[in-house]
Amino acid sequence: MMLKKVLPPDLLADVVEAGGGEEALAICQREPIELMFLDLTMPERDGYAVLAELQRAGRVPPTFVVSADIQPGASDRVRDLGALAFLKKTPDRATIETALANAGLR
Amino acid sequence: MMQVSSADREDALREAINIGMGAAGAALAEALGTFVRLSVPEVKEVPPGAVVDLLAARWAERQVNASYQAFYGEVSGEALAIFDDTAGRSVADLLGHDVNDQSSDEGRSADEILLELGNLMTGACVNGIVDRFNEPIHLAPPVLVCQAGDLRATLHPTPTTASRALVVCIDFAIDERQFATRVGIVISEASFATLDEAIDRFFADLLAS
Repeated sequence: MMLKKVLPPDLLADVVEAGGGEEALAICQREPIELMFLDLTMPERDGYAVLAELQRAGRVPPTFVVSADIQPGASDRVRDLGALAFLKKTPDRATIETALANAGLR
Repeated sequence: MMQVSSADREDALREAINIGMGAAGAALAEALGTFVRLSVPEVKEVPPGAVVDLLAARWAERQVNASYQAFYGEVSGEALAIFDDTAGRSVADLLGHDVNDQSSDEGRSADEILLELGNLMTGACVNGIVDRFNEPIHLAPPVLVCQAGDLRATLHPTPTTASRALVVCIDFAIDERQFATRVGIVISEASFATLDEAIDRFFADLLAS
């Protein structure tokens, strides 16, 4: 996964990867997540559907959407669904650090 | 030069394809003023004889329109934009154009509209992919190669001595309009080495940042 190449090292200590939307939902429902990096274009359920389901359940973890889906409205849609930030692919480490700081996670 | 694993190269290529997809989706969404659903791109390395079947998959039983563009540079290949036969009228409707009115500048035919859209999307896709690796390309003008026809019957493999081609299929949809389109990109085997080198440079820059 490209994102793991640029994550700050301290975030790599305990990483769980999901192969698609259904797996992401199962993980979020099974264990507490401190921070989720969520793609929008995924097999099974897309990122919008994952966020919507988590929002319905009141279980949206702190989430950064990382996506190449940059069409108008995408960023607003994910924020309305509870995401903290929308990061355009592929963010560099400095962009991630800034997003973490802006979200109060640093 | 650092050694990049084949798994990392594949990840980087898929990332670049995603970025191309995103650019094309954004271009389509902005052109039509509506939300576009993106699907996970299909990426396969196949013998040249399998290219047409892969591009035309899921369009086999439908009447379609398709535009074709070749692209040239250190990375070269061909691109197709495939539209369902009803797409022209759906798009014209979204744009508020009357395709039956040829009396004004806005009375473009459905074919002209699809040719423009195809050019927009294939350009965004291909440039989005190669820009990632700083490999400039030149896109030839689009040509309509299939009009309300059977795609498999229209497309013929380009004669080649190559043994492989990289095929990328990216699907876009506007659900409430039953509008679906596919951008298919075929990268020639002659470009594989250039692409690998470009990916290696990309990784070196990424890890240095």
